[in-house]
Amino acid sequence: MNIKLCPAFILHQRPYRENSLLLDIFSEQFGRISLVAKGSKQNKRGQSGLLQLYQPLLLSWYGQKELCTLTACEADGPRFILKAESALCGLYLNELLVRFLPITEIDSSRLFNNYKQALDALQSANHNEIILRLFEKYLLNYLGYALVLDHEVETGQLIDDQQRYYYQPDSGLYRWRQGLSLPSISGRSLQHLIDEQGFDKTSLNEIKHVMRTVINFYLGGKELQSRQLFGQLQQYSAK
Amino acid sequence: MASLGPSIDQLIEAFRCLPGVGPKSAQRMTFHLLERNRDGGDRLAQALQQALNKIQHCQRCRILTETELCPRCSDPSRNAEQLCIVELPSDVIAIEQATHYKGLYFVLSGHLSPLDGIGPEALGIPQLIDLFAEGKIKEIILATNPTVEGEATAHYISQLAQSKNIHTTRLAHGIPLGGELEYVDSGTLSHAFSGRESI
Repeated sequence: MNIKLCPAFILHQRPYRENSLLLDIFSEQFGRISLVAKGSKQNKRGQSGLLQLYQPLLLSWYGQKELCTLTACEADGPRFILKAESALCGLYLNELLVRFLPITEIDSSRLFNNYKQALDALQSANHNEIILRLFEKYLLNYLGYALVLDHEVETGQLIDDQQRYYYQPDSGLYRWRQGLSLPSISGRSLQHLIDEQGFDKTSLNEIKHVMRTVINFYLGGKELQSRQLFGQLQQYSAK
Repeated sequence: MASLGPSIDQLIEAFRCLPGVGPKSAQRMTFHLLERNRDGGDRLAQALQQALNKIQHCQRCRILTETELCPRCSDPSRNAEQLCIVELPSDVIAIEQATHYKGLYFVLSGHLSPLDGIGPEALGIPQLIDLFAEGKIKEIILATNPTVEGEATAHYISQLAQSKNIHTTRLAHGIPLGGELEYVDSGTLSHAFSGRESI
């Protein structure tokens, strides 16, 4: 396989040997791929300045197996500058992608665009929470775990703004009863998530807990590191 | 691989803990030491043992040192009001060689990186908060790498410092000496442009 200049983002990078890098990338046409960038840490052409998170890139690589070799990289537009809390939100998106996307060749252009839009929105840094929740929704759709939010799974009844529900991962929406351990969500908040607009503090909070339950379920109980990081950061800032 | 006895196998396996050393290189090192350079092997074993016994992290700045406080932290002539925060011990050496900085350091040993499981505790943030609370530090100089994770780390520490009213500065971004504008990457160039200085 010899790919020429495919749009991609770097999700994670770590040093490899003396001056090479191992890259986890998310490409528009081929999904998630692991690349080795040989000699990139001391590249005279300033390649390492380019190989950064949130930088739209055009990458070329070759290889057959799980680890391919980077041959060329160019910028595909200016870097998304995520500051402060947005930078951490970006790391959360990257962790979601690394944890959920398998390393296989699949056309991911829709999710790729969602990711790009999310970064763009994070750059202007308002309503970060909405951006994260919508991206989680798109990611679940893409993976084939789309949430069915508009009717109850048992009765087929459409949701009612005034009622409270809970979401059973892998199964669907049920009417909420007293004494359940799963987080409850109102019909109104569900409608916000379906319409992707109208969010307020209550609905965002309810959606967050439902999404967290669903995502944890599909991750098989392994906690997301960036979520723990958020918690620890807040804990120290409060001191 | 055919075994030559448990001691040799053990030594080969032990060499493989070094970065970039695979089974073949480990085998070559083992045979070299045993066949050609037993004195060297002896010296290596002693030096390694001694270093492992004596060297620890400095209690203040977390750099590697033989004493409780490193030579820089225990030097009274250095300016204790300035604290330069770096990612790696090698960054301390680079700054010492290149600049006239006479303040103190703090080594994070990495940057915030959720995917690698590195959070505030691994970076010694609780220790840093204790240093801030002592009240001696007037300025912190954030010298983390200009990568996304480095910037996120710097931002986080700057917020902690500002809550204690400590003046916070960040290393400038710019074009390398002897560089040519044409070949400088766009990110650096735009940083350098927006951070231009009057002369």
